[in-house]
Amino acid sequence: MVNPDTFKKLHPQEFHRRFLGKGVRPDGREGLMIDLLNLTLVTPNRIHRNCKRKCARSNGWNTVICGIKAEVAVPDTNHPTTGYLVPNVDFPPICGSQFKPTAPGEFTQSVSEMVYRVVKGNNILDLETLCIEGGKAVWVLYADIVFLNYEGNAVDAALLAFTAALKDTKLPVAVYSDVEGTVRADAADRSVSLDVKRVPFGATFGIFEQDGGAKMAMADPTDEEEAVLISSVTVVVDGESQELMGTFGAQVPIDLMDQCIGQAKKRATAIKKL
Amino acid sequence: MISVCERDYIIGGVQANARGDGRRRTDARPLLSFELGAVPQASGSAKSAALLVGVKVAIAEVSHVGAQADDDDDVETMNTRSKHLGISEDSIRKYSDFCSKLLNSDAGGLDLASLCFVPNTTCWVIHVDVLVLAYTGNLLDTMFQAIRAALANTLIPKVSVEESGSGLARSFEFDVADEETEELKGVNDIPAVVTLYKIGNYHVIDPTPLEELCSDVQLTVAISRKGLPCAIHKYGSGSVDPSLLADMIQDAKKHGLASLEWMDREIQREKLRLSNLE
Amino acid sequence: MALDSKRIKGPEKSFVPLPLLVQSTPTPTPTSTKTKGRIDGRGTDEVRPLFATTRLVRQASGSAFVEVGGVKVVCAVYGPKPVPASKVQDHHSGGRISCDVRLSPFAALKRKQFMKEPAEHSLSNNLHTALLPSLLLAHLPKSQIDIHIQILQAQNPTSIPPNAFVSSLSLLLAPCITAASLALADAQIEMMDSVVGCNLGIYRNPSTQKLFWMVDCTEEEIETRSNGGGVWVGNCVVGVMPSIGKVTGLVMDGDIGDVGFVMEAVQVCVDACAKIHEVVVKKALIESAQAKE
Repeated sequence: MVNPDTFKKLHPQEFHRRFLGKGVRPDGREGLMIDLLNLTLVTPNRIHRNCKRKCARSNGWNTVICGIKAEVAVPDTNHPTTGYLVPNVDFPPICGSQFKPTAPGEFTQSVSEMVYRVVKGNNILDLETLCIEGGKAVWVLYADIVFLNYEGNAVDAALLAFTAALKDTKLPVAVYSDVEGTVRADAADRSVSLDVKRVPFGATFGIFEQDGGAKMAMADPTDEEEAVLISSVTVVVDGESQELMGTFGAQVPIDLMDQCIGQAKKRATAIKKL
Repeated sequence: MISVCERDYIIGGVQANARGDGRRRTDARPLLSFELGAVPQASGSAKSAALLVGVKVAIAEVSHVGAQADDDDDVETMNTRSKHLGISEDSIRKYSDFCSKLLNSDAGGLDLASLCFVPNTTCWVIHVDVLVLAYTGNLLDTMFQAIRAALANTLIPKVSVEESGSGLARSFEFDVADEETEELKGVNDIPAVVTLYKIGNYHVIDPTPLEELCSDVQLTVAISRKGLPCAIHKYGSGSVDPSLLADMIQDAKKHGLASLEWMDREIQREKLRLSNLE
Repeated sequence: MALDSKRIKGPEKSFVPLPLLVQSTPTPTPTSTKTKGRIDGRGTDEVRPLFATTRLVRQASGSAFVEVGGVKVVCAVYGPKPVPASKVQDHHSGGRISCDVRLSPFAALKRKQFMKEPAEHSLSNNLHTALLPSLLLAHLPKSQIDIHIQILQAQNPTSIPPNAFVSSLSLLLAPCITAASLALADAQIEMMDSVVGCNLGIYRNPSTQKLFWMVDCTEEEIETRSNGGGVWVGNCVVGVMPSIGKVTGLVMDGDIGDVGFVMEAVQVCVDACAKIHEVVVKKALIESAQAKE
């Protein structure tokens, strides 16, 4: 008799296959169902200030902090009234032993890019509202999403932290002075909330191949599960209108995709309540 | 690498106040003399039997925080290179870190504010590069002496600044002179650096490479011309009882003042030699 | 500035907006005897309340979170893990530790680029020195312990004077030391004692030219460069193993007075560390041990 832990280490593929064949997952969750119980959204008073807003979020054991910093910059000459929104996802070595203290790896870059595409492609925030003085000064919102503990499903966690932080951000009233060429703002008085148009919620499904090639989806895969997946698909849903904002990932059979989208919508509704 | 017997021998020797080369615990080896201006392409340089220090000055834009008023803008970058001399990368990084931190601090002596000629935007940056030619132990102290000598030798071109406009629309134009140069201000006030190595229950100064291997605590003290410590950093893998520190700092003070005095004579002599050459 | 092609880029330059010109005249805090002269009313030897907890990062062997004033630090310890045979340099010596301190991009007033800054290297180096004496690395040959620190917040935004930016990064060293040592204990790595860090600001009385100290300075007290009627001239960070009373790390910079004063300052820090250890660190350690059972 092999110890389950040893078995898991030696044959991870087979280990997960046996579980999924019975319709359960190693941590007790069911295949497509999303467990909402272990999802907490925290806007901790302790971890914020300084930057305009920070939000910590944990999904299961993922711990993510998103800090949004507002700075002032000269706008692009082609779009003189458009502000900047710069999301970056970082996996510092603190969040898992697989991350090295060197330049960002492919994984970090791909997660960053994914979040950026969601943000850019969906007009989440009207960037025109970030204009302080046309052609002279606009706000730059740096959204830095830092993982403190990573246990799978980076995109969902990053998006959730990002959305929560964005909804929470308040900017000071900025005044542009033509004489000085500078922008002044009262850092203590933050009164302007951002006009967040759409609220993207991500739901990632891992695609696992069963014996005989049948594919099945697992919601919110953990990092252990991610290692044995053949691919994954992320469905991004607008929390307000239930509109589909985009899907990312590999090819999936249509019926499975429909199931995923349905689940993603359910999840978005549920998260919104939190 | 050091063998156990060799280590015991050195620790025992230090305890008996007798070191391998006949010195006592607080005796330093004769200091190496410097040749100033050994590298003609550099803005300033100093060369001793073990070290070569080159100084280059460059103009740089200061990155300013929202165009705020900062009055002392200047960076001093340190770069140390040594290959195949048995010095670990780690310690080199520590030494560079210490030197640049000290020289950039208020206690560093150099008048850094004078290096900034257009307020808030443009200043001189002094780059110091140290090349270790031979490793004879006690690197940080000798290195800092050499840096001190090289800075004393450093000449920066004169800059004339023209101011136009007034108030907020003020703009500056500057012109770097080709021939005219001036010395760095405040070189004389740069402190001396003394490192004390704790071996067993005692401390020594100016250790040989073998003695360095036996020491578990190093205390680096910068001594100003007034004989006061202006930076104290602890290195090494051991811990130290606070009561031992007083003794160590006292010895550092004695030795630091002696080193400063010797440096003054040395720089004077070299400057005289250089002016005679012209 | 070298651009990092692996990140999503914003505009080339951006600035923190300047404060409004019309400013309410800063109310100089009256230095009455009641407040003992400090901006926040503490006594000279009083440390700020400190919050410490463990087990924050589940992936790591051990982790800790320390918060003091506006400074928030997360530390995770990975290891001990074997060093690959090709990288073992010295077969006779024990294990190695590597320290890596990072500032989050949003930790300070001005957003930090992802590139490592010299201050972060210097913090890592000093942390390494302060932790080494507490560890029994001889018992862990050919292995390595990685200590990663993420600074979530480096200063308290409400208290910074308008034209200050982080020049007082050395203030971060003390909480880093405390957090790292707690995380090491949480990872159940053998140690002589936990290491606690404490800082101390040195001030000069402008009229009498006499030096005096204040324990556990805030960034405000350093940035404004004056406090309790004195002018800030130097600072000192000490790492101590409180149970044995030995100093593991010592960084003093600035005009720090004669030998007697230095010794006094160090002793004050040692006492403050013992206090922090007794009240906060011990509690966190017991909690960490109980959680393991």
